[in-house]
Amino acid sequence: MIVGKKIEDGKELTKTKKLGFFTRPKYVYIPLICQSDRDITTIVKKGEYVYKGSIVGKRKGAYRLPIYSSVSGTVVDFVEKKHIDGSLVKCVVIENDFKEKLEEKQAVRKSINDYSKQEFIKRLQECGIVGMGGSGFPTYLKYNTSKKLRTLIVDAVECEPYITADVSLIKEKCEEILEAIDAIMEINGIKECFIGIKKDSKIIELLENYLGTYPKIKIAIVPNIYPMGWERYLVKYVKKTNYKLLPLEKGIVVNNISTIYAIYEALKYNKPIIERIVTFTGEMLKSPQNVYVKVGTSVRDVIEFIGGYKRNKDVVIIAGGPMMGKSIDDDDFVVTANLNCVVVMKEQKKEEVLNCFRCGKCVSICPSRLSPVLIKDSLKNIDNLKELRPEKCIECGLCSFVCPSKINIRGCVIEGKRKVFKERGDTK
Amino acid sequence: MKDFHVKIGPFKKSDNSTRRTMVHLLIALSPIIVFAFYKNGIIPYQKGYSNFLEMFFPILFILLPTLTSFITELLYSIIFLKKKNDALKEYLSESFSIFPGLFLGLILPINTPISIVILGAFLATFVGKLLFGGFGNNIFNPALIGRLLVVSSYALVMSESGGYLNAYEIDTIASVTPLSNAVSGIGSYETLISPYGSLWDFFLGTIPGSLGETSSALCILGFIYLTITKVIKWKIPTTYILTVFMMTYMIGSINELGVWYPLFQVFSGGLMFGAIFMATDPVTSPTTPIGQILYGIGLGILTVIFRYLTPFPEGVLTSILTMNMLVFIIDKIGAKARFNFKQALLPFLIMWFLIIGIGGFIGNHYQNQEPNVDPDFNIISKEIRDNQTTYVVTQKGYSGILKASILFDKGVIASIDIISQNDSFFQKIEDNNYINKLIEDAQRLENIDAVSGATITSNALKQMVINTLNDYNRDMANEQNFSVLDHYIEGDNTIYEVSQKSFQGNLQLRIVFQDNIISSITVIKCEDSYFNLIINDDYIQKIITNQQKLDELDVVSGATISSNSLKQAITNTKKEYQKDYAK
Amino acid sequence: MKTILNGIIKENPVFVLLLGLCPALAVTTTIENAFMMGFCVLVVLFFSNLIVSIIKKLVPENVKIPVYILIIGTFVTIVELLLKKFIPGLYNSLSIYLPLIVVNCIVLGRALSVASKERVSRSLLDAIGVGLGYTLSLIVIASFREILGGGTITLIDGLSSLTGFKLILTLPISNLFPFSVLLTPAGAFLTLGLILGVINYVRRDKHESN
Repeated sequence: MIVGKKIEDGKELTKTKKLGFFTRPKYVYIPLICQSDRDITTIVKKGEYVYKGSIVGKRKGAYRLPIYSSVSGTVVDFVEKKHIDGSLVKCVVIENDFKEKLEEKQAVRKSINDYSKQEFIKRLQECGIVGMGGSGFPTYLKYNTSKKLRTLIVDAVECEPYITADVSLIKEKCEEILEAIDAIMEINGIKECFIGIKKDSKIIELLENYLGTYPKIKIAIVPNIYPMGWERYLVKYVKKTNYKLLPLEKGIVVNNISTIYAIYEALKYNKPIIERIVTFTGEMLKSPQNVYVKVGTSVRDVIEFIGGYKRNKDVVIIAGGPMMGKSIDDDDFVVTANLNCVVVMKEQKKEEVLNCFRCGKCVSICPSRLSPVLIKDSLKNIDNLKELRPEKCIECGLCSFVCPSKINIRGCVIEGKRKVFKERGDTK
Repeated sequence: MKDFHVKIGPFKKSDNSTRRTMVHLLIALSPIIVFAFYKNGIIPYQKGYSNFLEMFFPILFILLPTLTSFITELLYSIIFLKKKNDALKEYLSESFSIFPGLFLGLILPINTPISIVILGAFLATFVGKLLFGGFGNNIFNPALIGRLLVVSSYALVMSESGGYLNAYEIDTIASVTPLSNAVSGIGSYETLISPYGSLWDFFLGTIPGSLGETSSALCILGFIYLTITKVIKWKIPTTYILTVFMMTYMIGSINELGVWYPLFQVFSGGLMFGAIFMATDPVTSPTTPIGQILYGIGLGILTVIFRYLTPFPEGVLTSILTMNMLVFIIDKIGAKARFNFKQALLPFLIMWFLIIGIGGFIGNHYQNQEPNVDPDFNIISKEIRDNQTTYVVTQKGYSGILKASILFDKGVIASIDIISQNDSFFQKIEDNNYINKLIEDAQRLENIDAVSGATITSNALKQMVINTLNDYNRDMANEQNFSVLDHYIEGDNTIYEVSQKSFQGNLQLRIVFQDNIISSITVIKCEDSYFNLIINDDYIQKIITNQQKLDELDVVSGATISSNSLKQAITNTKKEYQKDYAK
Repeated sequence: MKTILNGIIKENPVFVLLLGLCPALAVTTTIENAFMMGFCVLVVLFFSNLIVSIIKKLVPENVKIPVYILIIGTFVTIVELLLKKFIPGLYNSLSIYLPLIVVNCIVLGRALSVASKERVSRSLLDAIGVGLGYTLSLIVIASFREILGGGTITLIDGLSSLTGFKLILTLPISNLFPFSVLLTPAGAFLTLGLILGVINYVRRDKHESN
């Protein structure tokens, strides 16, 4: 059963605005981090010249995904900049020479369907394609399997409020996206594809114009409730089935639609993720809009470019959507491949946190069928905690959303998750 | 800009809040309060049973405990929690402080003295809520704790002040509440419902009861409102009432009573109010959905068990308090059941099957010991004072119910007063002086002829007296009043020394069995002054002669109870003998 | 003197050490039962401490507990038989809690911790102190329960076989007054809890102000 809440949208702020472009920053700061792993070897040195799309860092551990420069220019420094999770990360500072010079690479492929499965996976890995809907999960891992893949579900739901990055991408690149889907299906032998999308989206009409050419791609209209974009919910709603750990068990692959476009660019131009659309929105921005930016751009520069803040005090800046994003104490943080939104909101006055009176709303609303209030009570007792399985939490934030006593219950569940993982790590 | 503040958690929040929950609850309770004022304040005033000032008594009755619990919590937070000014205001407006007192005012009988009500509200807040740790930490429903403490200490004072009935009801409708009327649980439509009106009256609430509990219709209205605004845990009242309905329907079908019977059980007592407002108290009920269903089912089963198998009143209160203790375990089961449905339910179901099985077994055991009770006959009250016992009984007559008060004095019927009768043929009975005949010939009721032209009514009257006599004799001859003091064998004789409760004090006898027959009975000790009559009558010899047919032996006139005790002693001893030496 | 005060206040068996609670809750329905029970415990404590302190050097380490219980059991039986003969009314009302003094944690506890280590005079003073403390705390609980819960003050009832007269004061009843739940076991727990709460609150306040 799908439980969730219809949350007030906020998307009208940016939905109909034109796409802005901020593709000529003076400096870019490429973060040397790959999926929370900061153990990266730098390949470039200070003063070296790099091309747009050339590798600047390689991960030491497993799942090698290279890190690329998003502009051509000179490496001037290595500094610590704020990352989208609030911590500091070492970055390569590159001074842009505005020439957009590409490295000598393979020529443009005419037909992107011409890859074999091995080549496809290798290309995805080499171009560092990660989930662009916010997860940052290496995409090639989803296809790197011997199991037969039957269905591809494309997540165009964008269930979190305020974010309109995917919608604006579809408006610009609809044909290319459908081509990419077709290519993926042919390369991997996938028989059917569903594009999950909400009903009230004008995009459906746009897509349907092109769908005639692609009979295997269908549109699946999903209800407008909050964690509908969650992998498990999409699989449950579209294919009416459930899986234990990965959708791979049932032969299903789920990808965000921006990731599909990134795959298109990787297959066609051998281009890694060096640019993306980020939604800059919120009541405290003078002109909220979607902006096409380069990876590594400082958010402060972008906001200045689009007009700046409405006021200078009592604002909160959030990296990510308002439900799952984190508030950062500095607007000088760096755009990465998995940042899809920056929200600038009014700071709410301090809300009184009351005692929990066990109304049970958090329990009935949790999409992962957890009992947050019981987890909060058993934080000191590790055996009880393990039975409650806090590791299944997807951090959607619905429990804190519905709590009448305004308790930060999501924080308690995350703490429980941490304790269980630590205990598992200790016993291993 | 560099001075952004870091905030936690989702940045969009719903507009749920504790204050809103409280307001919704108050809105749902207001029709009930208004109805209570109407039924207990305005109607007696209109019919002339109270004066203008007394009309507002119900409002005072509800307002004072509410105020008391608020003041208690205020004082507690100032003295012990040391909160000041703004923090104090916020704390009080959001801690549900008025609800223990408010609910207490709605469930206590209206004739409770006001000082006790105030003490009850104080105890409910202090013991039931604050001692456990304040808002959100209590295990038991505070209003029910208050009521429990008050009822167990002041039961006598409360019943002496008049109990549940307001002035108007005592005079016109009935003298006890419907559930106390249905002593054994089973009865016919006429005995259980008709004294109070029709089933519709039960639904609307014009029956005797405490302020909030009578009107089932308004409770259901409040439930619908609270479910729509998503304030209460709706699974609990639905499962609770459904369980009670189904179980009483089964019991009713076994006794061949129609569907009105389960409806009667559901609408009477504090069931509706307790299920909808007290069992769903958020702090003391489970948080997981499956847990709530299990909680409701458990409550239903316990309430039915308490109503049928135990003589205690307030089944709803006890069952809610008992299940409150188990909420911790139920929540654990519910949390596990979210992942693995079957594994969690099995222990719970097994536990309830066991409890119902044991309850049914015990109940069956007691039922077998009780002789047949005439379903048309009901004992409303029985008061024992020194040598006098006063019964108030009802019996179904020709058209309607006969209600009478029968006074037993020193073992015989002294008077029969008809309290009410709806029988058109009663005039004939009065003309024939039938009642006096019944009193005089109480020992041989079967031989009295019915009054011609009013046969059914006179038979009903006779049956009423017979049933009352049976109950009276049964009381006197209760097996628990008998005990074997000593038992030994001397040669051919088997000797029992027994003690039996007699009319005044105990009777101690030595009974000698020889070859399976009683050969002699000697009185060791006797505290009964009436025993002289028995000695003069040579009654003991008569018993020995008639020992095989003791039931047919007449009692000594003037010492009925003592003779019956003596006979009972012999019968009981014979049973013991059979048990020990049955071949 | 200091030892005696220690037993009453600092190491009060019921309110501080929380020992011997079973009789404290069960027999405190009348004040007379309370102080008679306390008195019996005092007597048993006194004599058992005396004997244990005298023979403490003779008892090997591993049989200490059975030996001490034997000594305590002897004195309890003596007290019991004396009561049964001379004050049967009291013997009946204290019923099973008299023999329970044998396993009352106070007696064995004091024997193990004080009498087996200190000299005789010290052990005796300690016995008197703890015994007095126990009696006083029982009287406090019983006065609460009986006055508020029963409306009577029973000073001499079972003892009437010795003194020849009874002394029971009945207080006037009002609607509120005999709050009879206090005479039930539930009320006993409630009273004990509330008294303990007040005492702990006062002690904590004093602690903080120090």
